[in-house]
Amino acid sequence: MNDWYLALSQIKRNPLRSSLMASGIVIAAAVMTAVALLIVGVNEGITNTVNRLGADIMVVPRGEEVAKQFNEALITGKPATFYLDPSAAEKVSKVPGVDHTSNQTFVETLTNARCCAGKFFIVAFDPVTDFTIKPWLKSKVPQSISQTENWMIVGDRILLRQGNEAQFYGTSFTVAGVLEPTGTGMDWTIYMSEKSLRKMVIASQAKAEMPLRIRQGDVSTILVKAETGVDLIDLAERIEQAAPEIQVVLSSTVAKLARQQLFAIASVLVCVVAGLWVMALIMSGVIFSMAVRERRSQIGLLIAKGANKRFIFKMLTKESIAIAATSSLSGCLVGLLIVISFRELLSNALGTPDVLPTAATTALFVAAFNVLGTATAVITAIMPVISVLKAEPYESIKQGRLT
Amino acid sequence: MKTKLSKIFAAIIAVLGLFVAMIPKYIFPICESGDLSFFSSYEPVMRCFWFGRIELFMGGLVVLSGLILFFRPTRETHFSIGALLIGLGLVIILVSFNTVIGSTCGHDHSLCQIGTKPAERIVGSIVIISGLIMVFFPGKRFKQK
Repeated sequence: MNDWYLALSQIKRNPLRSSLMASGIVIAAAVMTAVALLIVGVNEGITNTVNRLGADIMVVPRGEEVAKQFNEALITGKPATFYLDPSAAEKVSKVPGVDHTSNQTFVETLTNARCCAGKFFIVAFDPVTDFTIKPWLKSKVPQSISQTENWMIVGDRILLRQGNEAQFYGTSFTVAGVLEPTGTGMDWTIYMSEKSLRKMVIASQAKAEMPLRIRQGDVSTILVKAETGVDLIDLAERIEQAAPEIQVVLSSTVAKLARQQLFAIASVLVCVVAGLWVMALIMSGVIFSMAVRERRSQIGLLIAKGANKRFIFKMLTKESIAIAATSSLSGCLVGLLIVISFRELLSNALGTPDVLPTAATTALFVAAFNVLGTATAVITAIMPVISVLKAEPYESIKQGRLT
Repeated sequence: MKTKLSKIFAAIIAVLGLFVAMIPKYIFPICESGDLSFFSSYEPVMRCFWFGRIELFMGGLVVLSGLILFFRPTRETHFSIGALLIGLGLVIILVSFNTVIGSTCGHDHSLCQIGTKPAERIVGSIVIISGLIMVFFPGKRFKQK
């Protein structure tokens, strides 16, 4: 009869106690893993977004609210509408260090209106100067695109495919291409040429429930590709000096702003998880302590029969290891399963491109939390055992009978 | 399985059944959920309406299984209810796959796809695990009078 056999038979003998101890650890480990994966996944998603922006610098109208809206539009595809002074584009392109620029104009479609297919974020761009959208096209746009009257390119998550038609502000558009999944706001955006936008603006006066008010030359953002080797911060300062009415957004700032928004939520979540874990540890410690106290006479008898204290300590430790390790592993897997199952729902709710980190990071986190969970649960459970082992065998048998 | 533990288990199963039934109506409401009632004269167009209704019935059956186990926690009941729960859990999961009965439309990003179906699959898996526990740990033999 070895100590593992004794430990497992003790667990089997009292399933209610064992399952109570395990359930606390499972819940805490599941929440801890899910929250940690969410925080890391969201952070990775933001980094991916920034790496895929394509532009070194983005120019938008001055204002804190505009920067916030622009940031949300880039990361989640939430519609944003603001316009720069028409002269800004020319000023920016003349700044030394700017290699080339591409302008984009933002439009928000109408909800519950007969003239619009639904609420979408439309971005009008110049196909000649563009360097951020075309590289993401799934397949080559056919040459006949120039013959198509009104074409559009849609993000991966828009429910339209090549050849489909949709109406915006009373004008029909045909899908000429679909973008690869980017994990950014681009997935939720519809792109069209500036020429098509102008036609839509004119047609909206007669066909739409509410006309579009975008002046000729209005631009929402200017995407800047810097010359090789140019210091981006210096270039940003030069651009802001050339046109004081604008503000420059560096790709690194986009990440910083997005992380700032999430930091508050993340810190609250970490506190809740830490509290939950402490509670689970206390609960498992108390249950194990009660179980050990109940078995004091049994322990005393074992010592009296010749079993040494080391054997009993090992047996009780193994009992707690068996419960803690299995429940901690199940908890971690449950947490992972929840994040995987509700991946899209969570990313929609949090307004982030993705919530699941890479497979390697996920595996690392699950393994780390499993080890951490098991170790802390075993330490908490085993602490009361020491005091029981210190007592004399006769004393233990007597106290065990009294309880 | 001891009677006390068995009753706790039965209560958990009944709660799981309630979850199965309530997910498509209250937790992650599917399309036309406002008319998801037994006596509604509304004729639904959306496929997910029927998915919701199937889950409602499945949930009801799981609740019933839990109640039977609660009031008659014998070894035989454990085994048969356990086997039934494995089957019910499988059906709960299978109906959530479009390849099996075409339960929902093809809108990949709608709430029924990203919320209702994953939730039903998770609860369905727990129902199967509960069934397996009951089949493999049916407890002491019930003494016939």
